[in-house]
Amino acid sequence: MQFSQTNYHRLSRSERLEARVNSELKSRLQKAAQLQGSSLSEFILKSAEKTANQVIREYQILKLSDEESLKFVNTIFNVSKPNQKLQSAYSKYRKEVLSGK
Amino acid sequence: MFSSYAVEPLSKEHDILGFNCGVKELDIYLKERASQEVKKKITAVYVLHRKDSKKIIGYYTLSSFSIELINLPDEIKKKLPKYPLLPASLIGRLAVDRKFQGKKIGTHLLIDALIRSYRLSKEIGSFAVIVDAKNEITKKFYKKYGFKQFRKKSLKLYLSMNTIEKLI
Repeated sequence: MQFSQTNYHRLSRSERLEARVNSELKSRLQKAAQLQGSSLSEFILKSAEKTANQVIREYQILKLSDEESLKFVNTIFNVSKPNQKLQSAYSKYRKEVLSGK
Repeated sequence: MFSSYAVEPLSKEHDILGFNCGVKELDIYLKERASQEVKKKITAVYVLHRKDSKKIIGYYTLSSFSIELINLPDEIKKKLPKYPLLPASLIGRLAVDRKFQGKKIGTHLLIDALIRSYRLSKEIGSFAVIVDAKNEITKKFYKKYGFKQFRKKSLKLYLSMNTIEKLI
């Protein structure tokens, strides 16, 4: 999934976000923002967006390596029969659910 | 036994407060997050209860998920319209109340989830069902039914939709 990086200069910012912070963290954030040559709020937004994208990725996407990709795809396309345990669990389910109706 | 039970989408009618499966995270999820995620359409939550009571005995969650692939040969890429992503369905959580454990309710919920995922795959296109095993015990549970690991230590396992199709 690709997320485009928001351009904070151009974007109209209509919503407000507030957070309380202690002075030590605030000065550290300010210092980091200065080092990157951005304003404090720009810096905070950029960092939060980056983390948000990462969290969303982790929750919804699993990234495989070369080897894992190939192994996975081969299993997916290789039509293998459900094993015995799964088959009997399924028949049991069918029997039980249908007998209730 | 299961003829007196029903599995249905979580709603306000259900009694979730007494639910205790022994894994705190899964209890808290049901009580504090499940209905919000349903409202926001992030996750679908299905619950099992006795037909004569709204007390929840077990539940599972379904959501859409993607596998990101890399460096596959062209002939395989051609079969995958969304490459490098491959759409899948995720059973993120599956839990049974302690008082009802050992009665194969987890298996019943798993089959229910597989059938539902299969039906949904017809509409949204999904190549596999992924499960998030929370620990080694649940990992064993899924492996018993043919789920495979992505990598050795991973707690995420998968079962191909083709295999589920053969089942159903």
